[in-house]
Amino acid sequence: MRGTGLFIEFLHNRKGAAGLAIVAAFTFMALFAPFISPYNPTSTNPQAFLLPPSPSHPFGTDNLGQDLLSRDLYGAQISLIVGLAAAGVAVAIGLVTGLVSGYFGGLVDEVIMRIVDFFIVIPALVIMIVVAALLGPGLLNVIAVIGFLSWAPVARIIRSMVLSLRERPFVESARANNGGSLYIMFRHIFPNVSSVLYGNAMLAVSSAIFTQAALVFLGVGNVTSISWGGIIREAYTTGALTAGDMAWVVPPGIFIFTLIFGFILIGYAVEEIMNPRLRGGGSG
Amino acid sequence: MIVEIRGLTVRYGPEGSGVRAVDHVSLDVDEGILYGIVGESGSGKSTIAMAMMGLLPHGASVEGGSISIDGFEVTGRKESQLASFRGRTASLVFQGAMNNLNPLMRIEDQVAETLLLHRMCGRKEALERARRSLELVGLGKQVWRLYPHELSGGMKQRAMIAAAVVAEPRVLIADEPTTALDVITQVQIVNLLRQLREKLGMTVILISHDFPLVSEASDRICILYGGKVCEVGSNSHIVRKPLHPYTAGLLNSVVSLRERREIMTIPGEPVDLSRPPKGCRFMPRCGSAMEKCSLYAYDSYSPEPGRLVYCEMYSGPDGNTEA
Amino acid sequence: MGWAGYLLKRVAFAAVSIFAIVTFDFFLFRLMPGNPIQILYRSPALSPAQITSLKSQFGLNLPLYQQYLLFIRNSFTGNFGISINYLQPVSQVLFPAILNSLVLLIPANILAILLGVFAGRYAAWKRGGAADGIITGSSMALFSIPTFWLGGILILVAIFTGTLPVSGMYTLGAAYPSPLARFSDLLSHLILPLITLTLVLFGQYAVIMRNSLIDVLSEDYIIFARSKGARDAYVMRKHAMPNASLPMISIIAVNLGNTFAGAILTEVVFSWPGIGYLIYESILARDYPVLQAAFLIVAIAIVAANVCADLLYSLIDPRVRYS
Repeated sequence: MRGTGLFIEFLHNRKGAAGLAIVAAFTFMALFAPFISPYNPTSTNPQAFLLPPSPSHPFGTDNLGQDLLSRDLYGAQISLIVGLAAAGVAVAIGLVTGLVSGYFGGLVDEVIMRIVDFFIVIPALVIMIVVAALLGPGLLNVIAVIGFLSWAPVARIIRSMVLSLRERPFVESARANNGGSLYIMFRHIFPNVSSVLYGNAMLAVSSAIFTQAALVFLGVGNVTSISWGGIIREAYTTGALTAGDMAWVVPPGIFIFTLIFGFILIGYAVEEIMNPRLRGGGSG
Repeated sequence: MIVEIRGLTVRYGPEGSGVRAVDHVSLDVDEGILYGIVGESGSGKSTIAMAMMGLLPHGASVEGGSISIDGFEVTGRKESQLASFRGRTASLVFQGAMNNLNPLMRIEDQVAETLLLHRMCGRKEALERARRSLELVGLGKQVWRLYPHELSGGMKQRAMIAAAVVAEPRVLIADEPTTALDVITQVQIVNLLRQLREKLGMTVILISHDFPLVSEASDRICILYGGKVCEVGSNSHIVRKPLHPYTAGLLNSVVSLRERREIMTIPGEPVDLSRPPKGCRFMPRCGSAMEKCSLYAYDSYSPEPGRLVYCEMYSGPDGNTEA
Repeated sequence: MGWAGYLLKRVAFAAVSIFAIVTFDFFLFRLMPGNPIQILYRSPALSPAQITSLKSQFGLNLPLYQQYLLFIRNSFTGNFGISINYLQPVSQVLFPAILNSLVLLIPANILAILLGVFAGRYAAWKRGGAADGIITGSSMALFSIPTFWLGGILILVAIFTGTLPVSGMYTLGAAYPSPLARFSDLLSHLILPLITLTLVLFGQYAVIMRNSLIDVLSEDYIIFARSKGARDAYVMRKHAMPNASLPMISIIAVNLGNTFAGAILTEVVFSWPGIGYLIYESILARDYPVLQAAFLIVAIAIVAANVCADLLYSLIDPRVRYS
């Protein structure tokens, strides 16, 4: 199978293997947070607030006496849930619009692509801030806001691939055999765009994780759940940052960075396997 | 002798492993002739062309041998020395009608660029000479100031030739200059190369997989197979009386309108250079293969004056072994 | 279609986009749960006289479609109502914020593009080598770093070293002996946000530059330019860079929306009183008139920048001008 071969090639790609290891580690963190966290992340302790790092509280405590390490561990959950779900929404919408646009062409294509252009050009984060603020906090709201405003780049890439695939013999023969449009799209065209889709899906996940953290940092979105962006925001708003509380600010940022980097590495590795020219040292 | 290649060996990939795309090839080209090199893909013909220009791609390197063009030794040169040699002593025209010209530059500027790069004249004169060169290749006034995307494939190929010959190099290397063009344009381009050789007194090396095309135009022909030379001889020698079984096979596989005969293809697969057979590389596909062919060390034999053949069949007492 | 046709098409698209943005902007604030604009003008912060004048100005008692038409007219005349937070006309709040943003955004973008082009070009030149690995790796790392966190780290550094101001544009309450002193105060406030935004933008520019250059460097016209005698630095400058700048321009233009996201976060972290910070404050204060206008301004600015990019693209690429 082509898929298996690609997966093996992927594991041999240094970037791909590293990215996969990172994402696996954070998935473990998210799933087992209740077991590996030393404290309940929401239990406050008026006697132990703003503690510096110590063996019992490796990252110290916040102004409410909550254990920061536990909060940082739990933070992986929201990032992964929002990242994957929002990217899922974006990729699904992008895939369907891209397939339809590229396959049918003509006026349909023209209209869809102008909508895509519009969504690519407008400053998505501003709309996300506004809409998330208007909708109010809530996990589903954040996922919807990010997902519905991030599908356009996926649609554009899928469409350009479909345009070239449409003229290939196997699609033409399927059409000649009276295959229905839906059937041809999903049976013949989809398998050929799926590899590119994976790479872009990974990039979509990474940007959704970034956006979620940014929204929470700006005080909109699911501000009530424990998340890395929220922990950093609390460090700003309570003045812990300007007081120089590194243990509060540094770890959640490193976690966001590492997780995003992991997904980007995977995406980049997939892209490298698809487009060998980007690999270093190739024959020119 | 304007071009002398001795024992040229080019390797793709790292030292020790990798593939020898060209393996101990020696060629001599007399001044002023049109010299044809014929070989299928993987024969090493393009690699020889690039090696002659000092333009081997990343990952390819000259493992041994020498290339002398108009007295200039190409191998082992620094990039700056090669730059002043390229375009002035030897020029290259190659395949790729789509993208061989910079899409952002006017045609005349791309032709004049060769002169300006070598500081052969000022900008104004360079443009004048570029236009003359374009006219020489059959591209008139209306084309000069156009951009590549406004030209047909054949016109682009002519423009490329104009840029290659504008500095009047001693040697023009044309590597598959007609591939991807239609048949009529192919003939026109080859005729153009012949005219240029006469008008400018250049030596032209025409490299192609297309045996009839090369035999139509060349004075001498060299046949390559699997990174090795099979035989070299004058056009009439090679076409009328091929010595090497591979040459004979090539001739038989050519469609001819004059003779009514069956077209024969050469059986078997082209040689896998990562695992070349011992001895003669053509042996697995050769109808006349003998046992000793697997021990063949690529000695050249010269059964007639003026021609060389690399085949064990000619190793008899009357075949002169050359060093 | 020609150049004029191309530009016309792009401008037409921009016009339609702006129209769509205005429409979107209108309905976003009217149709969201609770109709924020209606609620707003019952705000106790406004005097009854202000409320009455606003209601008539925005036609809040009229049917929705008339409100919409009024909104379009007001948008084009720059009449955005009164800020609930500042109790001033929105345009008076918006204008200084735009200027402050430009003070940060323009140098950051110029620096990031220059550094990105330089680094990406170097990485492409040395592709596969250590320098390429370092540049590509750090670029990818840079665009994985959350902007607001990077700013926070810089603030930590500045606080521990006690060297640079970390908030605002000027020192609060400072009396400046000379305009120069004022300017140097501005510069010292600019340094940290400038570094943050430049670093965040640099990563993407470097990677885009590298990848488009590597694509271009394997094109046939690059080999042909070298075969004419062009040296590497010349090929890079004259042939590779102009061609690689085309994808660079379109990707930068398309990414401007994301670029602005980085600007909002940077402004918030450093309390830089630009339009991003204004948006942030307006969200907290539920200052919808300002939000509505700020969104419009930012979106239109990005669309306008895209038209400029299209124009620049067409100036470089003749295929757009003459097709």
